[in-house]
Amino acid sequence: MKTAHIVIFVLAVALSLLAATYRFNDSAHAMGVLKKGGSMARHPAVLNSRDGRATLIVTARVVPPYRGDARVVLEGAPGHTCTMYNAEPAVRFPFHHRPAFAGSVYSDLRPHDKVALWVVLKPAGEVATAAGPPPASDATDCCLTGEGEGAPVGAPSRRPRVSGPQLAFYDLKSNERLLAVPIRFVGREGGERHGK
Amino acid sequence: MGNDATKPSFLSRHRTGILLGSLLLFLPPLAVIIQATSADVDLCGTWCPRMFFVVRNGAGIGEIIGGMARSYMGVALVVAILLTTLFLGRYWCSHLCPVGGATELGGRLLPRFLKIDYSGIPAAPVRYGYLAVYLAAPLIGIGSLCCSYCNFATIPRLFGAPFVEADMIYFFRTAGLINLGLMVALGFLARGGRAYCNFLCPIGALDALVSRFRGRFGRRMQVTADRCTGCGQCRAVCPTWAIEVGERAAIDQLSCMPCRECEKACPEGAIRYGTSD
Repeated sequence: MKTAHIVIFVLAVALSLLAATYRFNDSAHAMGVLKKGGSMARHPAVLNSRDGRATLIVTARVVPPYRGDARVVLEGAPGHTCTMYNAEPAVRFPFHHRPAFAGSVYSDLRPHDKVALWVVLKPAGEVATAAGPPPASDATDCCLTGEGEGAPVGAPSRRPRVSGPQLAFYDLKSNERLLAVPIRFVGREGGERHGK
Repeated sequence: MGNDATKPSFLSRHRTGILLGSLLLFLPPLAVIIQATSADVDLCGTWCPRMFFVVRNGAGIGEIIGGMARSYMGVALVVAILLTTLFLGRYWCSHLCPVGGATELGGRLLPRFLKIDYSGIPAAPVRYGYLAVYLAAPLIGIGSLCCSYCNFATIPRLFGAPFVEADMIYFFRTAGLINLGLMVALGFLARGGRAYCNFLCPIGALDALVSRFRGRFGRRMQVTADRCTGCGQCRAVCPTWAIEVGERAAIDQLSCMPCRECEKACPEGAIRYGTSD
């Protein structure tokens, strides 16, 4: 009996190690803050969208004193289309302020608000499949093919140069970048080990 | 300081109702407690009870404290769970946990022939093998089970998916599909609906460890040896296969949560909830 327990424990450790070390690159989560002066997610989100869809989840908190409207854009990722879905409560109670999301713009962001954005990336030209979600009412399509293309207009000097694919949040008025989430696209081989 | 073994308590009689209330409070579409206490929409974020005790390789004390501050409601919840367990047993798991409650209540809606009986697999070695990797893998920097495989992320999104597209998107990813498969196979389809809790929930694993320490004041389910006939009816209803029946029944406190189904099932009144005499 004791031997069986030891064997099962070792098997559980081995399977758990496999699960912990292997990454599925069809989704990644990045955490950041939206703040004046800009910020950057600590690590690039590693994604593989060549075989189909990839999902980037961005969660961020609004750091005081920033308040305003922010546009979300995918930059430097030619050949990709994206659709954004904002996480919202199914039934919205008025306990806390929550920014509205429409047309890839968060409206009325206030200090300490939290946003959770699900960005589905697909290779451009891919035909939607039956496995995909239904057309979204709170979803926003974006299709940016060039570096910086589609970023907010006005005050371009305040926009940092885009050095690679990234999802960026810009203040709608000043065009100042509030948060950048770098994205690293990997090849067809798919998953990789953590920390690679 | 024993209990009256013949009269089921309020908590015993109304467990289903309490669990349903917990689903309404914690899970979509209402998630009243989450919305009332935080700017989040689900159990990820302020209420996350799983991430704060995962220490990542190279993390300084500031980062650890920062992680706790980010999910301060989750920290408070886990501390409250463990303290309550020390004195009263695993009531969070049996009566309040919306995640385990959802799989158990959902599982009751499914026909018996679909159910999978996992009771042949000893739960503790699986649970603590998983917990060991859950804690150690981030610490030594080789990966993480946190977030990628999370029951507290999956169940709220399963409830939210019919209403919110962002929740639906969660399942159109490999990790989301695996989580869904685990919740279905080890939750809804498991006999008793609690195999996920018993095998893979890190909160349940910590809670079970605390449950082992009871002292003089800790209340737990226990068998009155001279009344037990070893009929095994208690074992048949135990959702966490925590009861071994030889000549008499014996309860493994490492797996038992006081759902008190065994107490109700025992024809001899040999199982009761209380302190050790």
